[in-house]
Amino acid sequence: MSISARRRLFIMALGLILLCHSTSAFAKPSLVVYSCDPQGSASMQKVIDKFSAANDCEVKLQTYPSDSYMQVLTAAVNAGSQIDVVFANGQDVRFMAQKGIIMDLTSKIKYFDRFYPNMLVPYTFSRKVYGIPAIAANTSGVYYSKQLFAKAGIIKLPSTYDEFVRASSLLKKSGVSPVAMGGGDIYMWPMWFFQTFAQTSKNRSFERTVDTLLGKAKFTDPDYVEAMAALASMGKDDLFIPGVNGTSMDSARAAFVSGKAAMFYGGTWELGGWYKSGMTADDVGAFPFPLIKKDVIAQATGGPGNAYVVYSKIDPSRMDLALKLLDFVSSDAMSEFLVIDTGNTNSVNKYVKLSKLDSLQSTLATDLLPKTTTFLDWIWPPEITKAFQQQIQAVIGQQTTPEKAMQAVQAVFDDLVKKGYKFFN
Amino acid sequence: MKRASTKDWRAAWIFLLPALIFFAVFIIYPFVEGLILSLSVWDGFSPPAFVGLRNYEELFRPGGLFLKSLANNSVFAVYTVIGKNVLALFLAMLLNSKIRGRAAYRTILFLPTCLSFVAVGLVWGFIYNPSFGILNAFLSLFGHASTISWLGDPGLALGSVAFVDIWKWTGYHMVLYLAGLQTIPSELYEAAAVDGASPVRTLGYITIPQLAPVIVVNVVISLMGAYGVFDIVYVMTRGGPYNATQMLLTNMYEVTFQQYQIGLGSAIVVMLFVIVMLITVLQNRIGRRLEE
Repeated sequence: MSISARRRLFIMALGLILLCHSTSAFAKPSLVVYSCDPQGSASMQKVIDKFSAANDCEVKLQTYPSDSYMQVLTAAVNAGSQIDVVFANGQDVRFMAQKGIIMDLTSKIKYFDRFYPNMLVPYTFSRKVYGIPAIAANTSGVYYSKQLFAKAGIIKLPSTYDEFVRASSLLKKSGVSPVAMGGGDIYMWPMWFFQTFAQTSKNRSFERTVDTLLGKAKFTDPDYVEAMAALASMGKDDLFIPGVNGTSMDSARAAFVSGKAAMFYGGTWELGGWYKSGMTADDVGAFPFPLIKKDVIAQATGGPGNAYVVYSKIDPSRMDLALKLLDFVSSDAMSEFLVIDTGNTNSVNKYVKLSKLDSLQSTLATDLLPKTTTFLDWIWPPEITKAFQQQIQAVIGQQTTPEKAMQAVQAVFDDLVKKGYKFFN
Repeated sequence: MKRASTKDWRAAWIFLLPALIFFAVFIIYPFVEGLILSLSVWDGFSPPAFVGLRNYEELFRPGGLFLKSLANNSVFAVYTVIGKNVLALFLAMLLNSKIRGRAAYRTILFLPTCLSFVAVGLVWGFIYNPSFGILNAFLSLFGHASTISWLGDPGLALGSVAFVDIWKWTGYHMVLYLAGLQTIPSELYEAAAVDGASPVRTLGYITIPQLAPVIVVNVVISLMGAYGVFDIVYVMTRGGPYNATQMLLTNMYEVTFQQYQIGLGSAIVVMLFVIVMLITVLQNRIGRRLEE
């Protein structure tokens, strides 16, 4: 190649490099947000689009199913991919904080008073706040079909377990299954345990769980066994849709919507689905989980939903923009928009009050939400959560006894402790 | 033969290099990395900590989930290897005869092979649904119990999942058997017919021996497929109910991605590699004996 040709090539290459550099210099600042909420992603995208327009930046929302987004995040962390903000499942925040994946926000956020104080508790460890609550405060209850209840002649909603069994019997006689539940998707079974344990622990399920994980109590203690025994009774009393452990949650929802089952126990996140399927508050009602013990409150289980967290190794040049995004999405205006758009009832923001609630939303917001205690799998290590999922499924299916089930869970915990597990609080 | 010149070797290396680089980067390196991780404790976020053979000791602990997964996977392998190969050979023999619409039948039987695992798992999940699945609806027409929990009963779940796997892959094996049947000289069958051999004796003394290499290949492929099963099981049962359908790879997935024990998950994968190696060695030995 001649010298002049080489020189021309060199100048062209230099020009190209300079062009790329100048292009990138003028490129908009960008954030990458990982989200675990496919159902709310359309609503969140609207909020993000507003933020992007107002701040002349680019925010890329990457949404994955709740039970698999952590795997994607793990891969992204190890690959060194850009991660700035995560809309995390509340269940994972403790683990992420313990492993140093997310940042302590205590000194970086000045608007904690925007939220109900108890909404920050699940994301506060050693007096440091690692996440801010996202969108809606969740609660749970037993959804029921008003038409099927009327058809079966059930006038009074069941409040005790015996009444629940009687109502179920009437429903079966009228040709429908009592409770639709996707037992094949085992990740939902622990919610049932949260309900029974809330009562057998004399409404101290959170405190008892912390004690157990600190080694001050055991999973084989009588209140745990009693809670598991209550679930065994539900399986034995045939309260669930036939083949419950072979049914998926989607099939269970379909059974409830299509009138094959009269009840569905779930959280406020189910509301959007009921409304999308054409059901209204005239079709669906909700009532608290039945009492299995006397002298206790029938608590619901729930929490502040997902959490907005910041990646601990975020590029410092993007930190301000990330915090600005958190401020924006958690603002009262955006929170109200998101709660309504996702079909929820109660914002985690204390000054956001929804005025137009239908009777179903009203029941959840006024009757159940005030009596809500935190999901226990937000405190359990993942191995214990898995053990509970499997053992509850087995207990419901009469494959094991409540005592053996809790012994199996305790064995998993003992193994964890041997490997050095320490409760992160 | 002329000895290869330096130029020839250079050309050979240039042509081989891309494949070797690909092999090294995507096969060798991950394998070695996995082996190292199997000797470590790693949650995916903190630095890995070397623990020697501790992960392997944990796998072989009595009453542990790995041994149950191995047992389940082996039972699954027996069901699917026998099911696929017997059915595939039977269908191949039917399609090897001069029947009308043979090409159409071949296509229809091969179609499930082309479907995605996830789609197959989802569809069969609905077919098996105890309340509104068509299988129970069909059985109820004959007066049988209409709420059989195919995927929810630990005694039935493994067989139900195995059936789906057989349904999906039989067409593939059938094509291999068909190709093998068409290489058998027709004179052998003519001679057998002249000697008055029954169909059963023809099958036993001509078809099966002639198909022996094809049978070995099909059995090995289906064995490897059985031990590598994940998608269908994960979509349909997630390893439940109560670990009744827990396989090696579903166990690995849970341990690695849901319990953040990547070292232990890597140890499971290494054990799977050992199993596949044993199957390969077996195949080579049987193949060599058949050639002799």
